[in-house]
Amino acid sequence: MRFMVGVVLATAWAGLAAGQNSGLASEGRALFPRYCSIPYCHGSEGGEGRAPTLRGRTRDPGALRDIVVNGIPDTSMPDFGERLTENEVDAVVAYVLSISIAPPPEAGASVPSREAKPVSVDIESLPASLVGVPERGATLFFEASGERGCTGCHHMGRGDGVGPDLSAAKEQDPRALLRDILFPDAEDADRSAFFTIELKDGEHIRGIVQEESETAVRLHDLSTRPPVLRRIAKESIAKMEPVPGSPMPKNFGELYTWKELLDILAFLQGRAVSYPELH
Amino acid sequence: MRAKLVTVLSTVVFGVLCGTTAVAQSLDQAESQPENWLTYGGTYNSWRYSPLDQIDRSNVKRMKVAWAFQLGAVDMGFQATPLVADGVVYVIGPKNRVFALDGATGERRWHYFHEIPEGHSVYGNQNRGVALGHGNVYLGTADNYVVALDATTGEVAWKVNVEDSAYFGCNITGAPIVIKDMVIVGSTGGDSAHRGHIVAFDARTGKLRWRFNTIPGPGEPGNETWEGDSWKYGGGAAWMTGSYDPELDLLYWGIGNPAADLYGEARKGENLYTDCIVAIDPDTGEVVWYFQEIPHDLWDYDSAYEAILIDAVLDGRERKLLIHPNKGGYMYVLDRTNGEFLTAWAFSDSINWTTGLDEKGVPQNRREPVLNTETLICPNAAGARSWNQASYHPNTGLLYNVGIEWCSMVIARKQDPKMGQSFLGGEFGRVLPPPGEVISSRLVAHDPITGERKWVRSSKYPLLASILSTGGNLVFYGDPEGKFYALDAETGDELFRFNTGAGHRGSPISYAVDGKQYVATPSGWGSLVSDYFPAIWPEAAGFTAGATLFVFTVDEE
Repeated sequence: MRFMVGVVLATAWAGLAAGQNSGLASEGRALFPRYCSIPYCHGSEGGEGRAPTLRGRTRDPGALRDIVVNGIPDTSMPDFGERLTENEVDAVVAYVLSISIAPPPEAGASVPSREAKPVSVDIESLPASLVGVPERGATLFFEASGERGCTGCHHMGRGDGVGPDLSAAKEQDPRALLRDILFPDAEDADRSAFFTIELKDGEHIRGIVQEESETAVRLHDLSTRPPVLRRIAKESIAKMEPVPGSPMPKNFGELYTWKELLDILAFLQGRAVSYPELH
Repeated sequence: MRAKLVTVLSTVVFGVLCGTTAVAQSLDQAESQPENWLTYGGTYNSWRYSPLDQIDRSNVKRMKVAWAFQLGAVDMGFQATPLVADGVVYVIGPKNRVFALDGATGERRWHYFHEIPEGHSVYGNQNRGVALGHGNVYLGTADNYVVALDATTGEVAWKVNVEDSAYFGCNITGAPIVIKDMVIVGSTGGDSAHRGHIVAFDARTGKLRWRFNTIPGPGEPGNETWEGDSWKYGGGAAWMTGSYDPELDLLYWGIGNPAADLYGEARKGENLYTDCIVAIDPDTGEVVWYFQEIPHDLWDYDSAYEAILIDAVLDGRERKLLIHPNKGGYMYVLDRTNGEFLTAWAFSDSINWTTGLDEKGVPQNRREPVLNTETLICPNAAGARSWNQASYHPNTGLLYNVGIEWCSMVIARKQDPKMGQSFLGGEFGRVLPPPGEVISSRLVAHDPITGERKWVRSSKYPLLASILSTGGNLVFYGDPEGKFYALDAETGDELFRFNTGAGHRGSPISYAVDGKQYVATPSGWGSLVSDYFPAIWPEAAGFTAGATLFVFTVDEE
């Protein structure tokens, strides 16, 4: 068996995430009027139409791709699996993601600054429902039951977490943070260490390989919460396959309300964050 | 001489990883392996008793140091219980340094130093012990990880962060315990705005199996014993190690005090399950029964100490008992099948926070801390005994337990909780002697049911180390000045003493390698409670820190 740790994946999936390959999103934009914004369906550029508006919604990339390929049974949404090539499906998905909340950069557009930009909003004058508060965000960040919460993968000020240390998030543009929370695949990061592993005893593991030796791999097992850093003997492994995309869950758009997302952003930024700043 | 060693029974192996070693075996068999010391309390019943009888009252005076090992980090004292399996000693010292040592020579097999990031040891760098099982050595860490090390190599098998130490204001200083295919551990945090818990991980993979929150959440029975959202910040740390009855299949764990410690106005109610002994179904983490020793505790009287499981005749009936000391100075005797309160006796002579317990064990006429005003409370929050454990000797039938007579001037202060931050709700104040007396301490041989004192051996300084008793009818203990003693278990007469050069804060054990018995004791002063000493005895400022494991044996004549 060969272990591909450290080898960048060369599959069509690698380019799925919007922003990771903005050329792909441009291809999708070209395809969109032919297949999607036809009468009675999704409007021009995903705006208003008879079918659900696509622009400005949160989307899980995996679920989105599934809908494009298989359609939604018992609705007007047809399946495009037979009509579009694999690459065209990826392109349409990339485009739809690019018009979702906190859109990733268009081709040729300037990359949004990772530094916080001052926004002239008088937070005091906004209703509470539009303002995120750090203390509430901390509670949400450190939530550790069920699917919600960031702790376990992310730390503040410590580098030994599964995901990035988020203490630098204070310095980042809240829009970029929101995009990274809702669309983890949008950022062009090295995903080469994300694998699914089947052990000979039948156990299935989704994990990030940290290091590999002659006899074992050491990985963060993400199939459990809190995640576990485990040493897996190679002789116990039946199958090991790379997984495209980010290991971060893609359903935070469904798990949190807008208000809660604002609170989490406020905690990450160490200050109150208001809804208008995200536009 | 070798013939006197208790027969080593052929062992039943249930191991999954290294099928031939004690580390891999089911710990249910620990009592049939006197050569080993496999769990924190020696065996699941937490007797801290070794049946080994090679070293006895006739030869203990010839006991000599076989080897010593220095652990190299000394802060907060050397508080651990070493474990032994198949001739290898596994010991953890301050700063989460773990060593595997040859039991006969002290030679190092491997070591593991857990790196603790700055500012993440919220309750200190001390550690009270590791656990063994499934081919692994398990430790809880100062930054709130549980780590499994391969017992043969010391390599990390798995590692998991229970929760963020800095945010939640808790970490792990107690020893984990292996039950079936799980490793189970509690955490500190009882004096923080924090919600306590006991967690069980799959011993092989590190996956979370269950989490028992010591404070019930909304919708769970017991949540109504907390006012408002005080349950979120109510403490209840399970900071010591539980006991287990394999026959009843119940895990017993003592739960610590509620927070804020001294100010209770914002947490009106009984505050379950703080100050309780809980019996937990080890497969699910669910409470089977509980007994609350102190409803709505206002003195920081944890019930976190050991649960000693003995069977005895009480009122003409054979009972399965659980004997449990509380910081407040009472030893509780419960029926461990159902949690029924049977009796209790005081091991402190100066209790003033209550006039006594009623027939159900409920403290009467409570003397409570007063807001912004000094009140003399006896014993103080360090306890009529510290966490260091008692020993039960099945042949003498006696419980060897420490008592300390000390008080302090307590002031309650209003405090609002902030997650993970210190939440004392007042000041523990000056440490004082009981009125008209001096601060004193003693080791006592008690009848475990009635508390009757068979013999008493006094100590100038409060004893802060655990007791060991052995089949050689000996009792071993160390004192704050560094002396290590062997006493006659029946009379209390001193038979041996050795100066280890630093005060005792840990727990002695006994084991055997190749048919030869050894007695091991940690030596190394330090901890929050020992920091009380210099204000009372100025010379105690010179009680130096250390972290040395001394191992004694008796050579053939």
